[in-house]
This record gives sequence, structure tokens and C-alpha cells, in this order.
Amino acid sequence: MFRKIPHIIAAAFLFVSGAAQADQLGDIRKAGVLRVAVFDSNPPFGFVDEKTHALEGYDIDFAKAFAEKIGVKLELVPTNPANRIPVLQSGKADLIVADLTITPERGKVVAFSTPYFVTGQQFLVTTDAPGKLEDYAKARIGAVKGTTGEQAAKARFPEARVLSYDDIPLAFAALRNGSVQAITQDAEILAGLLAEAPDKSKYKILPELLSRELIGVAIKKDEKALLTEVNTILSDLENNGQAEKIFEQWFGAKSKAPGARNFKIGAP
Amino acid sequence: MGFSVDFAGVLSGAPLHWLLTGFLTTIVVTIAASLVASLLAVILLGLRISESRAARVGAAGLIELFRNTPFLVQMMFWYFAAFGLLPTGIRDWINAEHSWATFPGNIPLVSPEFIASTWGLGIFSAVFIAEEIRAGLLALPKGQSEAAQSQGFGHWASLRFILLPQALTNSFQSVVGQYLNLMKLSSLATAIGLAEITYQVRQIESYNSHAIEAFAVGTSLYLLLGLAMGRLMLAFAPKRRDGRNETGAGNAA
Amino acid sequence: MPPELDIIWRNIDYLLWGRLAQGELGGLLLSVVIALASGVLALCVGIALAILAWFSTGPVRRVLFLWADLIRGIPLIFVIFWVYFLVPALFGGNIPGTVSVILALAWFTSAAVMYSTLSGLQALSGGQREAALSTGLSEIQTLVWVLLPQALINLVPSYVSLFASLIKDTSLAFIVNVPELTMVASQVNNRTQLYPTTIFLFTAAMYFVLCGGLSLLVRRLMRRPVTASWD
Repeated sequence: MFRKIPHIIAAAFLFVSGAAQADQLGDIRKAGVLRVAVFDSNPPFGFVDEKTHALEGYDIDFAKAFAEKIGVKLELVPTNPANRIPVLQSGKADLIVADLTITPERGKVVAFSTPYFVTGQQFLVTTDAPGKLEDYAKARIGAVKGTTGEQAAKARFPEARVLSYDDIPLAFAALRNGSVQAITQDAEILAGLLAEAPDKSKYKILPELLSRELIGVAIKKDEKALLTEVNTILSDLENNGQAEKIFEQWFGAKSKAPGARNFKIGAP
Repeated sequence: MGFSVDFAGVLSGAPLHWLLTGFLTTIVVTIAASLVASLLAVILLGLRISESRAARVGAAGLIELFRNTPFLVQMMFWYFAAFGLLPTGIRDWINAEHSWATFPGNIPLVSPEFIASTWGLGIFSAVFIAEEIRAGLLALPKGQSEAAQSQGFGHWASLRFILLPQALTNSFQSVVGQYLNLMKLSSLATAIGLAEITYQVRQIESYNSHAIEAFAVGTSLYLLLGLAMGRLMLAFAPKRRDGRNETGAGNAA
Repeated sequence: MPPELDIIWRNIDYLLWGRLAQGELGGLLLSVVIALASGVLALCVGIALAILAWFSTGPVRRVLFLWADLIRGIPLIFVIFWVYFLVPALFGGNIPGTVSVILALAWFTSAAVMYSTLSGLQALSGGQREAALSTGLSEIQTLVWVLLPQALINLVPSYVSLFASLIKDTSLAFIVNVPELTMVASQVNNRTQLYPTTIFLFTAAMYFVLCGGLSLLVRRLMRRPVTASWD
């Protein structure tokens, strides 16, 4: 019985790859629904609003724009960093718009759009902790499963103990109760996290960058029509100023996690 | 389409190394938590069947509390809430490097995640083990305890020499099942950052997206471990005097 | 109100029923719905399998037991992952997260239901079966009309405690972001950050009320048959 299992799995993959030849953009139009994988615990990219209990954030606004431009309804698929690529691969979502860094390893399994956000990994530590990244070479560092921060911290500090949690607030909880000395994530996520923290005076973000990251929308491989559509929409959003408006709302001077927009979609 | 079965992405290089340390971590935390569970089960059982009413009620309350809440919630409570309530000195000591307490494969035994997992798994399983053995006691005919008392055995002596051995024989399969369950539940320690099999499987998945292969290997590792544990524990199975055989205890999982 | 309690109070609707007003079930209510749905499924499938195992011999029976042991030998979190990520891959279609969790829990629990039902059937005295057969009933009629009804009544306590485990197991839906109680509690904790103890204790208390209530019920049910009581 066990001997047959590889055949069954192989057949399943054939089926999946067969299905992948179809035109996903056409399928989305036909179904009238665009399913987008987004975060639910990572302000300001994707989080549950306290009053409305609805998903909000930078990524959510882009997801809304994609659905609107394609002319279909939007269905958000909440997920966490570790699960986002499998969610796409298993066909539960058509796009990942969840602060996903473009990397060559990931590029082997999904296709990326042009970057719609640029960021870098930083460290969040307690106020009285040392201020240089190198001081954490042997520390216990909290990261988030399935993020580039997890791998970057390991590569930069092989002697450190990198502990990964399902999501950034859990990593912060570990920092708060002293299980780790630093946590690492994209700069804006850390700023958003700290902005929402009721005890923010006890923590600081180190200015030094661990790495620089380009964030893109991920879709299944070999879906040229959908990829082109996503890229077209992104450059339209840049040209008509909507992309900048979304940035202003979540990262502008009046936002909780202010930052400068030193990039343009489609321009390297 | 980059979606094909390729075990090389899982069974070589860094992923293989991760899986091996994960496998080792699962074994080590299972052994440590089993010891804690056995010890706590003896204490709980002792309280539960003692002659003091207060002890019985207290133990019953604790047992109900741990039985009726999900293990995942308990584990997150121990790690994210209870650990923070410890004095700073103790927390700092736990967080420091302890080369003497580092298991081969760079598995730190004195670390918040290992201690919380061992304790959480230990107390959760202890409750079930104690209740299984008590059920074994309850199933004994009342004549047994009366006969023992009439022979001049006291409460504890009749338990130790007459009743518990029979109760253990009766409940052996279910108790083995609880230890097997403990091993499987250790998979949830991934939620608090313990680098056991499940954690490593998900790390591979996010590293090179070989999710299916990694899940398949992880699943087989748990099956293998369960099989080995079941066999090992059956070797200790008490012989039944009534001649019923004990095969199939692996089913008690 | 102290901030610890206020945090629960301000989110109580979200914790209890999620975004129900917007038509999305969540929180405690979703946990109960998942448990009920997977419980009913597991009960039907489990009893059907037990009947199959009762009549079958040799290879069929062995395959049934192998299947049940296999599923029970894997951590539940893996069963959920397989169903959540791989069933869609196998069948191409898309099933919502909640449905995957229901299927995974039902699959996992049906193995336990099969075992209990079979042992409940075996616990009936052999005389029952022979008496029924001697009145001219067929094997199937004997099982359906004579043995099964008695076994099922005896098994009510063990089914109820399986259901209590099922309620606790719904917390694993957290792993795949299905907004049941543990997931929404974690979202609230993620947002408010400062009171993990209160939020985890509240979550635990909710499960305790449900499962503790069921275990009280079991004890009442168990009290009915006359058994030697030891304490």
C-alpha cells in the first residue's frame, strides 16, 4: 500500500501542474473574485482594526486596488509569514500581498511583480540594551518563521541563537518577558509594532540595517497574463499617485510609523 | 512549474541538518517531559486517593483544570505569560549560555522554550496518566481492597502491594497511549519556538518551499518515533495472570 | 475597571462571535461550530467504519486498523497541514480554511470513534448475538437492531468525552489562521500586547466552561450503570 503513495503524490502534482497551464487571470474574471493572502497581525501592512474588526493596512489597500482594477470582488485570505507561500501554492489565494521580500530562493517557486515597497531588517531591543548590531552576535534573537529576517540574522550572526515565532507580536512578547534580547523584522513592521505598544518607552529600534529588502506581489509561476496585469496595475497606481497616497496614509508624517518614501514603483 | 517532488531539497545540506537536530530535540523533550509527567502523576495520584479530603478535592480541581483546557493555550500561557512573572535574576540565568546543559546538536536544555515545553507537556500528561491509573483502580472489584484491609494492610500498604500493581496492569495500554500522546503533542511546542521536528519542517518550507516533501518526512519521523516508543514501552508490559495477551497496545495511541 | 478586565470587556463581542455582524463567524461560536460539525462527521464515519470492521476479516480489517493507527500516530497539527495545504493540491479545488479544519478534525476523531464503537460492540456478551441469530435475524439485522443500539447507549459517555477533546482540539485551527477562539484571542493579544496573562486565562476559562460542563455531564451519565465504586 505504501509503495503506491509516491505514484499518488506524483499524479497529484501532474494534476496541479496541468491545472496551472490554465489562465488564472481568466479564471479570476470568470469567478468574479480575487483571493489575496494578507497578514492579520502585522500593522501597518495588515491587521485587524479594533473597532470594525476588519482587515486594514498598506497591503490591504493594494489588494483592494488590484481587485478594483481587475473589476472583481476582493476576498482576503488572512495568513501568517510561515504559511503565506504554501497558501498560494495550494491554490487558496491568487496573489500574496503580505510584505513578501523578493529572494532568489523564493523566485524558484513563485513569480514576483515589480517591487511595490522597499525596506530593510532592523533590530528592536530594550532601551537599556547595547546600541550596535554587532553587540548581538551571541545573543538570543527573536525572529518570525518564514521571514528573510530569520535567515539574515542566522547568516550575519552564526553564533547567535535565532528563535522563530509564528508572528511578530509573539516575538515581541518573548522580548517583553525576557526570553530573547532582540527581535528582528522589516523596519516598518517594527516601527508599527512599537507605535502600538502601550509601553513603548521601554524599547528602541537600532538604526543600523541588517539587510535591504525589496517587497513584491507573488503569484504562481507561469501565469504571464496575471503577472502582466499586476505589474500594469502597479505602474498605473504609481502614475496616478494612488500608490503614494497609500504610502502617505500608512507611513506618512501623520502616521504612527512615519518613514520617507525613497522609492518609486517600477523605477530601480 | 516549479512544483515537483524532490526530496533532495529536504534530505541534504542545511535542511537535513535541521531535521536531524529537530528529531533529536523531539526525542530529548519527550524523554524529559515523560520524566516530569511520571513524577507529577505519582504525586497527583497520591493526593487524589489519599485519605485527606482536602488533598483529594485539591488534586481533583487541578486535574479538571488541566484536562479541560487545550494544551496549545496552556503552552502559550506558560511561555508568554508565566515565564515573564519569574524574578529577573532567574530569567537572566535561564537565558544565559549553559555549555554544561547543551545537548549534542546544540540543543540548549536550560532555555525558556525547553523548560516551558518540558513543564507544560509534563503537567498536561501527568493529569491524564494519573486519571488512567485511577480508572484502573476503580475497575478493581471492591473485594480486593476489603480483603487487603482484612489482612491487616493499611491504606497505603494495600495500595502499594495489592491494588496498584493490578491497576497498572489494567491501565497499562492507556498509560502507554498517554506517553505516545505526549510525544505527538510536543509538535505544538513549535508555537513557542522550540526547534523540534515541526519547527524544522516549517523552517525548510519557508527556506526553499519544499513544503510537501518536508511535511512527508516530518510525518514519517513521528510515525517512526511512535512505533519505536510503542515497542519499547511494550517490552515493559506487565504479564497478565488471566492470560489475555497485550498485543495491540500500539493501538492505544 | 482595571485595564486587565477592560481589555476583555472591550473585545468581548469579537472573542465570543468574531465578525458575525459582517457575516463571518468567529471566536468561541466558531470553535463550537467546528467541533459540532466535525463531531457529527466523525461519529457517522467512525460508526460506519466500526460496522465494516465488525463484518470484515483478513486484509480489509487490517487495512482499516492500519488506517486508524496511521492517522492516530501523526500529530494533529500535521493532519491539519495535510488537509489544509494538500487536499486542495490533490483535488484542484479550493476549500475554505474552516472546512479544512473540520475535515482534518473529523478524520482524526473518526479513528477514535471506530475504536470505541468496536470495543463497545465487543463488550456486549456473546449470548446477545447468539440469541438474536437464533430468532432468525441475519448477521446484519442482529448488528443493526440488537447489538448496535445497546452498544451506542453504553458508549454515550465515551462519545461525549471524545467531543470534549474535539472542542480542545479546535484550538489547533490557530496554526492555519482560522478565526476560532484561540486565533481571535491571539489577534487581540497581538494588538493590545500588554496583557497576555489575562487574555490566555480568559481563553482557557472559555474552554474550561465548555469541556468541564461536558465532563460533568459524562459523570452524571456514568453514574447510572451500577459499577463498583472505589472512592
